[in-house]
Amino acid sequence: MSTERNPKAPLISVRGLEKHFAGGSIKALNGVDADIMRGEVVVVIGPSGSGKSTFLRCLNLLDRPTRGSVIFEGTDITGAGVNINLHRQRMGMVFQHFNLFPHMTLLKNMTIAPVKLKGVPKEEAEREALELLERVGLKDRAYAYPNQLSGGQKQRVAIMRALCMHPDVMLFDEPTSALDPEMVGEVLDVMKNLARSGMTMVVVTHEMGFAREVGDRVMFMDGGRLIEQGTPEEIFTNAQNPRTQSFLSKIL
Amino acid sequence: MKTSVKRALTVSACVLAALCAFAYLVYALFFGAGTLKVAARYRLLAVDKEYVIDEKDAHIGEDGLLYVTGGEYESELSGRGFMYETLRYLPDAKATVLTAHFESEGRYVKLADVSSPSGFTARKGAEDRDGDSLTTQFDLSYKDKKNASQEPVLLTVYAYMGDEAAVLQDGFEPATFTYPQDGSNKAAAKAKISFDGWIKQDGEVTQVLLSSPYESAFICAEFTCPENYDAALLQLHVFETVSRITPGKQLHKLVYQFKLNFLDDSRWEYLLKGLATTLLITLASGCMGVVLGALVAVIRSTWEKNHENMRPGIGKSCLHFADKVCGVYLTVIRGTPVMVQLLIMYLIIFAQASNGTVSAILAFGINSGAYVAEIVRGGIMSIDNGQFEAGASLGFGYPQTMIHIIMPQAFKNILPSLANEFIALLKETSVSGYVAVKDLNKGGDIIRGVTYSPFMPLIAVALIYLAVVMFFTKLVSLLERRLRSSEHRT
Repeated sequence: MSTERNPKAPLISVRGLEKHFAGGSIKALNGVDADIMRGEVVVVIGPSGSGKSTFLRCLNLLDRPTRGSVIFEGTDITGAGVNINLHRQRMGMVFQHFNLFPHMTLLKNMTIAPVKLKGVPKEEAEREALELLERVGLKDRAYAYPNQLSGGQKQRVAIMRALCMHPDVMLFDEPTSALDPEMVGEVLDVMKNLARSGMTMVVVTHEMGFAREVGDRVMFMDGGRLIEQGTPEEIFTNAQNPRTQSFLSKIL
Repeated sequence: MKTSVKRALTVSACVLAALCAFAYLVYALFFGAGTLKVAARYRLLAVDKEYVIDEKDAHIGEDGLLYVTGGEYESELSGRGFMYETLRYLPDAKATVLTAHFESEGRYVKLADVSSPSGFTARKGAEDRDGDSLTTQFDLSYKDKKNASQEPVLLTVYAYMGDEAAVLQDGFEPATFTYPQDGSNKAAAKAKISFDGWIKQDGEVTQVLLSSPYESAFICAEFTCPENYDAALLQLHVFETVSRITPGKQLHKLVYQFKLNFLDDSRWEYLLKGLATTLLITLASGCMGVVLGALVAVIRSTWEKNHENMRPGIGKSCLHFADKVCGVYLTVIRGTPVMVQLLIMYLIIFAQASNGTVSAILAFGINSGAYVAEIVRGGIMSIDNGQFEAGASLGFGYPQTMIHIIMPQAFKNILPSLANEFIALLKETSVSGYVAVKDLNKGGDIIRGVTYSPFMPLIAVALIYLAVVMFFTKLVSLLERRLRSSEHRT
């Protein structure tokens, strides 16, 4: 289990986050405040359209917030003049549809960012990538192309690709939703190991088992707001808000 | 036993038949004696009127020579013109005597002794004047210095008159002359040129040029008309004089045509140099088009994908402006014919420099850029948004994402379209001749202008274009296969 190493300063601090689409007619986020502590595994749950994915994508500014601030390691990254690319190097992200680069081998997928962005020597980056691949049992596929892999294998590689940049936090956007059921387990196992190693993680998922087992904190979102949060214990067995209760009653 | 005899008989009959056919073919191609049929149509080209002279006005005389006598044709000549007539050659004739007969306003024609650069001379013989008619007899002789061929004679006679001679000489190069050999290297013939019924004024022929294409003979005469007209010239244009030489010497004709169009005077160099120019223009403007097109495509797709997500500011305004400029560029270039663009480039923008090749490269480059831009933009837009996001989430900036992640994938998708565009460009450059560029098409044109035979030059030009296009198509399919093997789609 992960532990909170530095509970005083949050790694990411979100204040008054709003995100409007289509010129303001759709409000995906409607004033969210949240803190993510170093080493913490935060699981975000909620019905579809509740804004949980948008919340996650606002953390690394893939969606630029309409209002509000995202403070990452003491810097408000929504501010003008901030080089967001530098901050994104320290925020790994895993997508629902993997988004591996189809024209590169797995090894190249994993090493291109460290080599091009951090100036890591190619040999060193490849050695490290091979180690990571070995951990997830895909070392012998290092020179294969993404389209030769199964969905579960692709997602494991995608996680490793993000890890190659040594991020301070990993964002997971429904990482198992596009997988065949029998492949969900292998991806969750990788994520569990990652959580145990002390990585800070924000996970948007429908896997309640994972939330219960690995999560330090569960956030329930609905209608673009953060409705309720607490330990998995509190949320799953003793939810206070009626909307949380109704959501959980439908899926559990 | 019986069947084998049968089979042997059948086989030998077939072989015999094939041998006979082959022998006949060889005979027909190389040794066949031709008979000439004349079906002539003559056209008198006036300044704005065309005459067709009837077939019945031409006949073969008892001496085996071809005579052409005109019927009566009304002439309303004014200004200036140029007269010549084309007659097909009689394979076994030793000389060709031509009688041209025209009804027109009166002129006076006097022909003088001439000699051609190739050693052909025409000595003026008897002049026979009858009222308005003048017949001048020429003794033609030829000394073959090279002792060359056994080819029969064909004459092309150009008669130039007066001050206009210099002008018209530019348009007609004296061709080489060949003559039958009879064991010696000297030959002589007689030619008679007579003009009837229209000789009134004094004038002077200053030059008669003689030459000999194999298949056709010209008599060209040009007249000044000192008093009634201002330097008026009569033009008689005789063509489509068909001689059917059957069945012999077809191969000869082809060989002669080939020699005439490509080998004589090293005319093939027009095609070779033209091809080099065409390739230069295509490659240079193709490269320019790809660079320009990629730039425009990146600007347009960046704006299209990101403008909703951008913070207002100078960057956004600049991008918006650039996007608008690109939009105008695409609309204008794709909305006007490339030939008009080429002429604008040459006659307006490069009016001072008058450099056709540079104009063509720029015009075709800018034109092709617009089409490439749309192809590349399509390629970029076809890449899943997740690829942009994956690149961004790793920390790549937009340009780096483009270069390392999007473009390699987009390029692979659009390669067939790009290749098509390149091939279309190659063919489009064939209008470069309009701005004084001697490209491949123009090279064929020049040859045609000299030899008057469209078949060989045009077919040759078409075949060269085809060969180049097929070469590039093959090249692209190889490249495509290599790129595809780097992805292993299953």
